[in-house]
Amino acid sequence: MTLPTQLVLRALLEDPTREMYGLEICRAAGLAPGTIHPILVRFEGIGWLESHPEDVDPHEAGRPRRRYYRLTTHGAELARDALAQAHSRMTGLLGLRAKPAGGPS
Amino acid sequence: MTGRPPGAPEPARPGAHDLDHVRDLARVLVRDLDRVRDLDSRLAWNLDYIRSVGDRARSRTGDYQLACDIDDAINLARDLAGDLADDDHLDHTYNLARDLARDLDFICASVHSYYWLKDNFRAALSAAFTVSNTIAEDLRHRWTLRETAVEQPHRRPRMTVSRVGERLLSMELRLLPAGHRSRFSDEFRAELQALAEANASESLQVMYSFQQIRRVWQLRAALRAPHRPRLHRLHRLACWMLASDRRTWGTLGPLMAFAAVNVQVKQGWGSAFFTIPSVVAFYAGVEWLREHWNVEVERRGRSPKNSA
Repeated sequence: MTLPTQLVLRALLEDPTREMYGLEICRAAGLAPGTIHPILVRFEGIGWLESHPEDVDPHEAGRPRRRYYRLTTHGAELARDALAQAHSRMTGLLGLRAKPAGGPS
Repeated sequence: MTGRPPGAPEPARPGAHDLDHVRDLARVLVRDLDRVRDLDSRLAWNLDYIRSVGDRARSRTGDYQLACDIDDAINLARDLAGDLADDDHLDHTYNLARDLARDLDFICASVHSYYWLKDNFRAALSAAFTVSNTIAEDLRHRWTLRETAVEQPHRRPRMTVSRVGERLLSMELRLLPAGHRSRFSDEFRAELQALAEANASESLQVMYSFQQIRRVWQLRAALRAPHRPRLHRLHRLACWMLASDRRTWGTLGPLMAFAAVNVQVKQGWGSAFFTIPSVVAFYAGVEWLREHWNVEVERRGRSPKNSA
């Protein structure tokens, strides 16, 4: 899992019930706008995310509808597992895995 | 003086309720101020007196002054309650509430010099001040919110969406699969507009569009095959290369030989000797990738014996 993907998942997992549109996710993840849409589309395609257009009349609002994204319940569980796995892999690579206290050195 | 008096309704959050809650508070305030009169007989007498003589009582001092101040506060509270009947003049109502809170604060500060007043009288005045302050605060929030909402349409013309940014987005949309264009047209334009509403400069908006267009191939690939990993094609190509020794070393061999010869020509044999570890590292890397990606190697022209 790439670092941008992990950042997007972390941003969405901060509050899995919250719906965010693209720019909000960019801000939360600290990524450039173009980076997140391919990631969001992939996650939506595999069922981790769900999205819907904003419930406003574009003429009244004076702007096009935003698209809001949210993790599905199943997606949130899988995202947590995937992040934990990525984290353990990273710590394993860097040799930062904590040794059990009192265990053999 | 802060805090909510016992029995008074909880202060409303602006926007959470309508003005009914403030009206209830105002009624509580009028009732409490009317009851203040019954808590002290001397004040009650003075109040009756100044109401009977009218403006002539205004010139008097001492007890009468306190009675006048309280009478003014009661009248102001009644005006406030009346003004709250409609919410069209929120600014005026807020000013009334603020004046009342200020007057009651002044009265609360001045009653300390009237030694004959009982504690429950002072507490009732203090509670009335708190209620009036709550009303003033509530109205101030509502008024601010309303002003902000009124100002919003005036701000819109100042917001400009970058035309260059829009054109770049249009170009990007043409590169996306036809079935997804309308969705991303709305999504990208809404985000561009959100940037404009946040007073982002034109160059920042162009940068947004440029960043979107930079990743259009990734987005296209994701839309076409969301289940496939991001570098699926590159991975497939690499696996195909690694599946054959001829393809792998036929590509890497000349490159490594060229690098070794180049080093020898430019730096001599001593340096060329140090390219050997690189060759070994390449070989180990290729074997690691084959194992990691489960690539089965086609070993043409080799019998199992030879390969063992």
